[in-house]
Amino acid sequence: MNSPTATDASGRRLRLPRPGVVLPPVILVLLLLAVWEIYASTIGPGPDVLPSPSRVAERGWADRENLMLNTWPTLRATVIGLLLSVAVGFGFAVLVDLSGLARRALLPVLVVSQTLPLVALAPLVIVWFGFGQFPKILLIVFVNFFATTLSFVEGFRSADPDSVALLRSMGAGRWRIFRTVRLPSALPYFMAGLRIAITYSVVSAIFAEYAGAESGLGVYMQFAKNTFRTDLVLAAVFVTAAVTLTLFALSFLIERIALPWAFLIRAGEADR
Amino acid sequence: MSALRISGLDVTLGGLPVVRGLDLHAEPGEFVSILGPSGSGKSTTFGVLTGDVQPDAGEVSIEGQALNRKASRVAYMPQRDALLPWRTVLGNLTLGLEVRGTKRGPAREKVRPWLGPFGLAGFEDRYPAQLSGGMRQRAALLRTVAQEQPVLLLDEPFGALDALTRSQMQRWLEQMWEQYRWTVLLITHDVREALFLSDRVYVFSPRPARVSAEVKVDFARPRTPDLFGDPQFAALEAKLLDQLLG
Repeated sequence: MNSPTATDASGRRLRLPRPGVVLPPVILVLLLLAVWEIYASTIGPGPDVLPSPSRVAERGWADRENLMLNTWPTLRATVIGLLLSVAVGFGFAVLVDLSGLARRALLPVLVVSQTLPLVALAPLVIVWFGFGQFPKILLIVFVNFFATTLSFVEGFRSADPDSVALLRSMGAGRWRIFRTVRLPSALPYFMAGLRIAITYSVVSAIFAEYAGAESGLGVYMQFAKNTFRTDLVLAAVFVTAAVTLTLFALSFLIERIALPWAFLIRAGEADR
Repeated sequence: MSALRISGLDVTLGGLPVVRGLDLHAEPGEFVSILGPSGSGKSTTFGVLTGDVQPDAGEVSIEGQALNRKASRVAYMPQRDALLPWRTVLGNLTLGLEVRGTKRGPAREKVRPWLGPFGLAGFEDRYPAQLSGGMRQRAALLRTVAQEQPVLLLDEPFGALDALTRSQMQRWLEQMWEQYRWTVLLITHDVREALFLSDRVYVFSPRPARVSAEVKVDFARPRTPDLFGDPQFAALEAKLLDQLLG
């Protein structure tokens, strides 16, 4: 099937998303919104309990200044938390990759860290570190570093043994092999891990804000709920989804620019 | 002085004797093939030459000098092309020179003149995923040649190709070798490939590997596929197959 194509700076064909990929989910979402709209404005329980999507949009827009003011702290904590999760995950993964002892010592501890109940921990973190950005970021890193560590570990392990043998035959040392073969091999795995981390990050930021913060979408939702403004709660939910989707799309854009070869391989597999 | 000489080589891997008392040599500008059953220790022998495998005993010398792990003097081509997908063709070709200490710019200038003869001109900025199987194999061979080492080690270079591309590549390699006369040690289990390309063929025994036969192949060069119809070729092929099947 042909897809619309454009050409990037170096003259390579650049595939735009196919209509067959984008259209079905968009139509489904529009359909669900339509059903909700009709239900809410006819036999629904009334706008105070279940406002229609159009009402949510209208009220959200009216309160946009306040909404934006609370979006920024969430977005900032999410992005900083993500970057730190990646850095921590990379550090752990390099340790695990280079040293068998580190692997045996670290991996079980990382698994245990994932069994701790976040619901109980979040309020404690707030008690320890206050209502600022720091506890939010800490929680995001805590939720995500495991996934980013594993995606790097998997990625390093995916390095082609033939390529490693080739480098060794040229007299390459450990560090040279790491940065020439193992690290680039890990990047597509890392991008996949990053996308999982993006969805978790936004949710954990809001969760941390729910547990206690000065500002943020979580704080906004809680305040709206306490004043029985279901329309504003839902408006904040939509903003959350929009933020997550934007970060998600951004990750694909970064991958397309930074790892053009990964797309070529995927396109080649799709053609086969 | 031989380009490569192995004498009395013993290798044990995981308690299993893989190579026992192996002797072989390659003279400068000679094309030598190793034929052997699967798992007979051919690749292990290459592993010793590339510094990947530690032998128990034996001597290996290249141009009269003992093997040095740090300063490898062989250029190795693995079974699959092992082109790095994130490097362009040119980036892959300069890899060996870069690892051996040449700066990227001079390495590129060194490789460029080879692009034409290897049929890669105009493709230097592509990624490996954009090349055909034959082109990938030619790029992998050029990456090997470009390292400018005294001995080329080719480990079943055409094993993963389809039959047609494979015979095209064999003919192409024969022509290239005519022209440049590299010292080549080729692993294969294709008897015809070994006979078509080589000056001399070693047959390895089943594990533990030693040389069970050594055959001189003195068909005139340049060789063409007509050679496959030569009764002498057929006789030699039958003899080697017999030797291989024990």
